[in-house]
Amino acid sequence: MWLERSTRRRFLTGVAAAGAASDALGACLQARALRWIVPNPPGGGYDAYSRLVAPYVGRELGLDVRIHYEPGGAGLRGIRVIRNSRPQDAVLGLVNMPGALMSEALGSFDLDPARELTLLGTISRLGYYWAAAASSRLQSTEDVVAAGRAGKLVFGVNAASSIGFLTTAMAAALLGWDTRFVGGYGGSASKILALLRGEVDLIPLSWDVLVPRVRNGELRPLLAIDERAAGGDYSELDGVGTLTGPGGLISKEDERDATALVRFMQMGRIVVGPPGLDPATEACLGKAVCAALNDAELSREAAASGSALQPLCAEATGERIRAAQRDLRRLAPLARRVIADASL
Amino acid sequence: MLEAALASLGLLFSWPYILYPIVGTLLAMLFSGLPGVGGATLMALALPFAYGLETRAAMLLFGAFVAGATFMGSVSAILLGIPGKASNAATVLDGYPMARQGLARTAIGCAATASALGSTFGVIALLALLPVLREAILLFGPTEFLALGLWGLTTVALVTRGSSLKGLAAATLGLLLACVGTDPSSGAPRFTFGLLYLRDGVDFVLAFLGVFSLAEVIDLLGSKRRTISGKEKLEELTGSVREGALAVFRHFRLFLQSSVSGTVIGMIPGIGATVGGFVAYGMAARGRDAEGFGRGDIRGVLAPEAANDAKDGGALAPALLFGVPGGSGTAMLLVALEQQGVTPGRALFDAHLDYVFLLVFSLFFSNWLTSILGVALVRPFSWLTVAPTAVLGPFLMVLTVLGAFLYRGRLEDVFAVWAFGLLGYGMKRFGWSRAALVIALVMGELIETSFVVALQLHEIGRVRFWERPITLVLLALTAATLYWMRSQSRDRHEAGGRP
Repeated sequence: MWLERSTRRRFLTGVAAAGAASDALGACLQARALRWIVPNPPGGGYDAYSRLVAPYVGRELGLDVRIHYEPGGAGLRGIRVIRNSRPQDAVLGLVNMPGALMSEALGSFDLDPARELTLLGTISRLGYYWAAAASSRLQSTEDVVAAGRAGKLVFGVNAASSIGFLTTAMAAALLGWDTRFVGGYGGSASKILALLRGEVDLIPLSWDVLVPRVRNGELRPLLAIDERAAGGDYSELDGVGTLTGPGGLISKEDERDATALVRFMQMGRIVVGPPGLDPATEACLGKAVCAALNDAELSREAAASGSALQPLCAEATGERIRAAQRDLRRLAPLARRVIADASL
Repeated sequence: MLEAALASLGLLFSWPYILYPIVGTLLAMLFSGLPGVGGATLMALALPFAYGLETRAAMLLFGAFVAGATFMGSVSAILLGIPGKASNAATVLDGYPMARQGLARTAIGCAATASALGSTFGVIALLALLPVLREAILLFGPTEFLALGLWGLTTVALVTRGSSLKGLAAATLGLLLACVGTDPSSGAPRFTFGLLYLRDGVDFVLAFLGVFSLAEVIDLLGSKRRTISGKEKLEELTGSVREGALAVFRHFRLFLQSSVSGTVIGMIPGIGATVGGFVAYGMAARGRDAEGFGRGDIRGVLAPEAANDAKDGGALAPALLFGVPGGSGTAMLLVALEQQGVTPGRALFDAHLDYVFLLVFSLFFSNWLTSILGVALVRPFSWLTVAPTAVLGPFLMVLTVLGAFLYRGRLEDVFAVWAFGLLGYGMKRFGWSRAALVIALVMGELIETSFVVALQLHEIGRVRFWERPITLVLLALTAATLYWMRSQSRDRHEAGGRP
């Protein structure tokens, strides 16, 4: 009762592993503790994923983990903190790569996270989902398509610069739908309330926010701006249409742009370190993050808490981000157009 | 529902579960003694340890964390003029003047009693309204928030003593500061001067730490007062805890009014804790014989204290029903729930009503325990008001600056608090209302965001102002308040008083 069995097991395993790992991966960083940066305030998705994953990374490295919150600038401040850390500071963190790259491309952030950070792995790769209230008149993807074509869809979003708005507006533009946006909702919870009050028809949500509320019976996903990766429990998405892929809604001539959008969003949450690490340390950290993200116990914990893990190791992460940057160059004009057209 | 309630109550008072709310309360009291550091920091630190706890134990612990911090913030607000949390800012307005008059014990006794009874009211209201809460909360949308914000802004005039022009100017400054950050609909930076630090706007916790806490410390160090109360021995202090406690019953209608407003405001998602205290204070100051407010009127302690603790119960409703936190405390509570695999929403109430009751009862227990301990410790607390300012002042300055740094762990916050501290000192020196600035800063963000969303919804025909009865009632209240203030001002002018 005082401590769950899994916690005792983790603790003892951690102690034993620290002893064993310190000979191997513990030499990655000459430090007593790992400082893990969360670029958002406590209580959000990044906090939840960090608390899930960071202890496993710490175990692989044989280090204690200390979570540090560095909120500000919609996550951009945390990225800057990691970039400004020295290699010997034993700092890692979790960043919203799509948001950061988009901000950089649109000129509102003076840091290229793909070049100026050390990329160590990807935690989750799922995109955005358009969700309606369970009691909404919109009950299926077909209803959404009909309403979208008739110009009768209203989305609730944070602000015109938010990744949720940009993804949604670009997807709607590619589908050729004339949609309205109501901006200014401060966070997922506010958007969900707006949905339940009937003010808006759909809201874009990330996977970790969506799934608990789908399982709760409050929301219903109606369109997925993602690609279905292998593995994972996607029963919540049964019958839900996708933007691209087999049976996707996008037309052939817009397929390339839509695929670029989905691939861009798929970058997800990336584990990063500061620049300037020597190759041996970088390889060592990459190995530790890879091992941690692929740990079976972590997968079980993630599944139990409704968090989707689709890990990628450092090399695959780097390739994916380089591909996403090419996608972004393709998408940037469309992004600028939807921002300019936004009636927010 | 009754079975779940009784089972949870039985569990709360059983061994060893009773230890959780007790330990949680004591830790919360300890942490909230530091200005700017409160329950949210404690909860963030406790999360890794709580992960391994059984869910029911975690509910009891975090329920106590949510509640335990509030009263200690009131104690520092009364004794030192330094609100422990933003929600305690309204208590400073009359609590600190009472301490300066040697009536610290009376103020603390009143605060403790109002807190405990207010919490009781909030919990009873929450439980009584449980079946209809969800639908009731969904009645509040952007137009209601806008109207509430406008009504809350009228409180500015009530907290302004002296020149109403200065009060208006202070409020305008607060509204301007609320514009710093990003535009709510476009996300474009606004008045940030290219600084990433300002992109998230002026944090009102830092603003109140500076404008109230640090400004008071600077004033204390610069004044000729040897002690806060002007007395040098505890025996010289007047007033008593009993007097303060009885005041709650003497002004029972005010207590009920404040508890109702606190509970209702707590239940409105996204409003925030600070608003409740100031709204209750403002409503109290609209009553009869209001001249004493701001100068040590015990009603000015009673009203915000009752509202603050009644709000705790109400604030659980949007958090548990919709996952919308009312403040940093409930935000961390939601993280703890998620960690335990508990998702807010209808299913929580359908399948895990016992968890809801455990949280509510733990919160209630913790509020009472904090009040009882607060009263028991009133003598050592009161010593602060007879301690030499030469010793107390530097200590408080270090504490305030430390609180500023610990809030988010950022050095820039310390500079921000100093800037606000100097501003607040200047305002105090020259008779400008600091409360007006803080209220306007808090209300400004609420008003702008609500207005922007409401306007967009109105343009697309999703919402019509005139079809929203709660909005109309709140707007009517605002108009009535403005008319009342104008007639009060005219009466004072005719009687040869201040404009």
